[in-house]
Amino acid sequence: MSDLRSAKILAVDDIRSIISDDARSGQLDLRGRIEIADENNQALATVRFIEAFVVALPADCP
Amino acid sequence: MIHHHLMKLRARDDISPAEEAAIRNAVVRTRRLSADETLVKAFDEVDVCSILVSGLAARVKDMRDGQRQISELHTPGDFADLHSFTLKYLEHDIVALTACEFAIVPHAAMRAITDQHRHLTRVYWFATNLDGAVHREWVVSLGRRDAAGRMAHLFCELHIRLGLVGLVRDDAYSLPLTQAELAQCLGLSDVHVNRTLMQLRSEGLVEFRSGQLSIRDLDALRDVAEFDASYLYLGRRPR
Repeated sequence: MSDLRSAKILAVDDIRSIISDDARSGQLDLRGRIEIADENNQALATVRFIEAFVVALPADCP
Repeated sequence: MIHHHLMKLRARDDISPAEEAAIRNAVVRTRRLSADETLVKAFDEVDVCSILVSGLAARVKDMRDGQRQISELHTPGDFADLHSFTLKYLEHDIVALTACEFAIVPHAAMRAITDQHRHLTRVYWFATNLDGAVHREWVVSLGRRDAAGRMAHLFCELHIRLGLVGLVRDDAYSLPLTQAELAQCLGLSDVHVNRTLMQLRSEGLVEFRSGQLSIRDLDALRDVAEFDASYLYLGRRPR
């Protein structure tokens, strides 16, 4: 279980690295996900891009 | 043993037979390291310098959370820790990324070179200045280039550095780095490196497979990197 927790932490770091690069070119696409699998390619968990952030939007944002 | 080192020096300056002999005589032994072994530990007093004969090594610093930043890659022919001669200890580790062989030069031998060979001393002074220039360019990469630009720049830089010592064929060279180590060079996450490699491959710029980097379109790769080789001071000038 601690390995899965570590993998989720790494996934969050991966997402933030990717988004920070995209943001510099004006893109903020939070629709992606990272799938965590074991060595047999069995899916263990999914981390959505939006879960890597605390998102605050202006009150008048549609 | 040190032919890559001599090729690197002779790419930019004349090294006389007497100077070559002085360098060869300064090497007292070799040291072999396995991958991930540490050549120099930060803050340990050092009394030798090491010429990388074979393999790939890196200057690294580790953060509290275990994240590693590689601040320079060392390729065959590099005097990996020449700066230790004046510094006496390093504020970073030098680690072998692959199995490596180093030619060991005691600081006492370096001192003899500086006493007896003024031109060679200036050549090595240039080498440490060149280190600084490479570091400055890496700062620009980390601060201002996007992921593709950082990666492209590193590949372009290595293309030249390895080319100087005869280790590039048809715009391809051995680069035995894991994607994690590439991430440590570029300040990116592992997945981000993977994504960026796929991007550069899909754009027809590079192929990176099984430790081999093949540049498919050098001009386009240099354009992505905004690569200007001036910082590598490639011109032959007397020093």
